[in-house]
Amino acid sequence: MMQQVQLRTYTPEQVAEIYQVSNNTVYKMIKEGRLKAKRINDRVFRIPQSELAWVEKGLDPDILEKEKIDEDVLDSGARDVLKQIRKENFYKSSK
Amino acid sequence: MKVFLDADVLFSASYSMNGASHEVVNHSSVILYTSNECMNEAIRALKKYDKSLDPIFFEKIKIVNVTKKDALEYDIYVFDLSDAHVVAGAVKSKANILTSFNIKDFKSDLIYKDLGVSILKPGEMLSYQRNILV
Repeated sequence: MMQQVQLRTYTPEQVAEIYQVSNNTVYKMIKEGRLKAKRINDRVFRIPQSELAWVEKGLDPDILEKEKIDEDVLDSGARDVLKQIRKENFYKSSK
Repeated sequence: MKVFLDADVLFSASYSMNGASHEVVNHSSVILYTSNECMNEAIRALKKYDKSLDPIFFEKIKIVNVTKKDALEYDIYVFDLSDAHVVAGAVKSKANILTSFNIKDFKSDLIYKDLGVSILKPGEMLSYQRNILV
């Protein structure tokens, strides 16, 4: 059975409104590759929701992805390892 | 612009080549610092995962020496005394930014107010470089 997908896309005009820039700026960003978009037909583009991550998280989507890679490593136990080493070093130097 | 790197950033930058920390270290247009203490912590933690610090870091990152005495001067800026050496390292290297994953370990507002050091996560640091420093 096909899984229901609930991701949405935006038009360049909607993105321009969200970012408070002109439509031309958004089209320029698409042309320069700074904004991921799917060309549907000639001058018809759709922009994935992930490209608006900055609005919610304050970080560009590629940076968000990179930070997640690090956070996943730290959350898998490395954070505790680092904390433990820090405490060991501190109390060792206190003796 | 001088940026001080906490041990968790050094660790992550060596552990994964695709993360934000690695990019901060390798594609940075800023001057990077860390301390002997942070370096030691990162090396020990990496060893537990059978990994080692990327040798190129020794060329890219300047190391300041922080003593226990230095650290104790900054006890009011942290919730746990064992983190004080990080603040001492940032001050000693005259850093504008301290990059760490554990922002909540530091009294960020007080550190900025008294010492003029902003605390950012590596992703925020990349964003700052991309959007502000260009």
